[in-house]
Amino acid sequence: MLVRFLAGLAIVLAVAIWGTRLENQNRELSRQISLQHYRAGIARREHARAKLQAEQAGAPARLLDRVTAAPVVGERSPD
Amino acid sequence: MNAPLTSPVSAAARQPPAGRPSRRRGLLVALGILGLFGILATRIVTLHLEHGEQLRGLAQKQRMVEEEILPRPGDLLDRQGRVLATSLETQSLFVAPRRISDKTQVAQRLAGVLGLDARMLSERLHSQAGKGFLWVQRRLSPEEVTAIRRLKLPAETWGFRTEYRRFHPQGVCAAQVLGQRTIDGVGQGGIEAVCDRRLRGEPGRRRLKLDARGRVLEVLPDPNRPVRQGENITLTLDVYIQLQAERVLDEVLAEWKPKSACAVVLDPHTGEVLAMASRPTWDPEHPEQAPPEAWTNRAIQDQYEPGSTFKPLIVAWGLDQGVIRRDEVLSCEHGEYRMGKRVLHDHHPYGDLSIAEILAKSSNIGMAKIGERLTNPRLHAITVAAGFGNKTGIELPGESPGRVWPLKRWTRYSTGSIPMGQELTATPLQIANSLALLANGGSLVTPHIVRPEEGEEARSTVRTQVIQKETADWLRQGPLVDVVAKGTGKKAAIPGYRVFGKTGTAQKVDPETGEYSRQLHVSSFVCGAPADHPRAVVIVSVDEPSVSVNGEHFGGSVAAPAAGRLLRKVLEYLRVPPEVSAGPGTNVAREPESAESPL
Repeated sequence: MLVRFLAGLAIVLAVAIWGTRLENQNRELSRQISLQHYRAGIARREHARAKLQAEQAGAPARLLDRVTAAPVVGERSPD
Repeated sequence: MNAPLTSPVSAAARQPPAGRPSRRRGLLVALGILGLFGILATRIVTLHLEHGEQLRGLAQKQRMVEEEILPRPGDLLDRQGRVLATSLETQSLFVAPRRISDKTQVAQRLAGVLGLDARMLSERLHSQAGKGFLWVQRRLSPEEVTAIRRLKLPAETWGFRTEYRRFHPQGVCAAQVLGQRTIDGVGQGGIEAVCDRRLRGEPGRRRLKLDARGRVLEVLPDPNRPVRQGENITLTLDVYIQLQAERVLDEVLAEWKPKSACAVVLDPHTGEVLAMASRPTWDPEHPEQAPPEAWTNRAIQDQYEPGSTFKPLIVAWGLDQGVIRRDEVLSCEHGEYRMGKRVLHDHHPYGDLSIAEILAKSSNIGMAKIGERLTNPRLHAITVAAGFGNKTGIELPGESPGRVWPLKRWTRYSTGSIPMGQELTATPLQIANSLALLANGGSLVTPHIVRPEEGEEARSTVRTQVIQKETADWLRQGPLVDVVAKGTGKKAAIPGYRVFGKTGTAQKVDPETGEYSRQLHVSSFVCGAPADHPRAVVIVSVDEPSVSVNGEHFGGSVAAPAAGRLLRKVLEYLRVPPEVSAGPGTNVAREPESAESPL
């Protein structure tokens, strides 16, 4: 009787512990997902900022004078 | 064996119950506990029924916070994917004046960091002392955000709100075409206004699960209100060509000191606008500094009499209608021709001129004679068929339709005026589009500036055959090439290319006298190249060039050189090889297979 009772108790305990563990794992995963959302947001912001800088750096308005002022490759310089 | 049938148990049972008081106690305790549970249960039921909603809300507030997700506005891109306008997140600072105890001190600290006037900020905080929300400064730089955080002001008195700020990496480029987004993220003018809904996107919501200390444990997007980010919109503009148009206009401004000027570059076959620039203009990073007249998109909002730029269309229509022949010679009456009560004059007295010469020398008398043969109904028909008097339908706000009077208001005077581009008004885009019509073989194509999605024909683009292809090709490759080779448009000639075009010098009405002014003109030049297979049509229009600067005001002197320079840059960029002459009177355009256009 006692053995059965203890066995039952052990099963209940094991299920409870397993459930708690699952709950913790679930929460941890949710936290990780939220963190990833947050990081993705930062990455998007940084990407937009970097893209803007790249566009500014490569804007024809900025480069045109330098490009057209330089001699074309293969062009002979006047003696 | 005969022992009495008694036992100690039965004897004990007969004794008065020694455990009764303790049982009673137990019963009392049990009743007490039951009573306590009863009270608790009653309280729970009371709380649940009476304050349930309120408490549930409180608990939810402590555990869950709902917030709005701002959509990022879409980017504006040119046809090559270069970014014309993009948005970055910025922080804006607000305070809650009613929660600030020492307003003067807070004002001083914030003003020190943000470079504001401490006294004015303090006055604002005191005057709005009862408010729970007050903007201090919007769209801060990252350095300012860090500096404010370092002040460590009480958390309940201030906060940041995320907002988007528009940036224009190409600088002052197509400002009137793009428009701007206001500080509240609303599109104003240009594509920003027209495509505001697509660009803006739709805000969504999400819930944040918090722990007891208010830290975010979990982010739960609301499936019913997901955020819809703003769409990117690709325009038909090409930043390089646009930049050249902007530069050419700057040169025109420096040389002729006009009131305003504009330039448009069109692909005559597709109706795509490759560049559209106006002067005066404004810096999109500082719209607050823009003078009111800088907001006008001259290419679609200014309207004036097209003048001689209208003549090629009438000649083409006259040929199509059979009222003139290609080899016909008309007498230009040595510079003076009477039409009823009116006497027409040419700039120079001409005798007999061929059709090509009438265009090359821009003879008003020759055109009036063609007008007489066509008569008013046919003149009106071609004017309307070529899109004059109606909006072109380009995806830009505030387009002017120009003005063409109804036929019943036309008089004998109109028969002489219309063929030389008077008595009607048109926008520079309409004039460019009328030359594009001759450049593409006679079809009127709706110009557009928003590029359709991949594989999708522009929904709004309509093609209408207005002039016969043979007529358009002959006119373009003959008389209109002569205009540039030996006529009024010589200054637009480009070595190696056969350029076709037409000058225009329209007199403006003097606002004081109400009559045509001898001082106020709109000088324009519309041209395209190569004549055999046109790749681009360019118009440069200059409003009120200062005659005192160079003593001239004609389209051939003011606008033609600029239009020629712009067209040359466009042809070089499109890698259109120079045409090679294959003999007298003929030109052959050779396009090597490797010459891929960047368009």
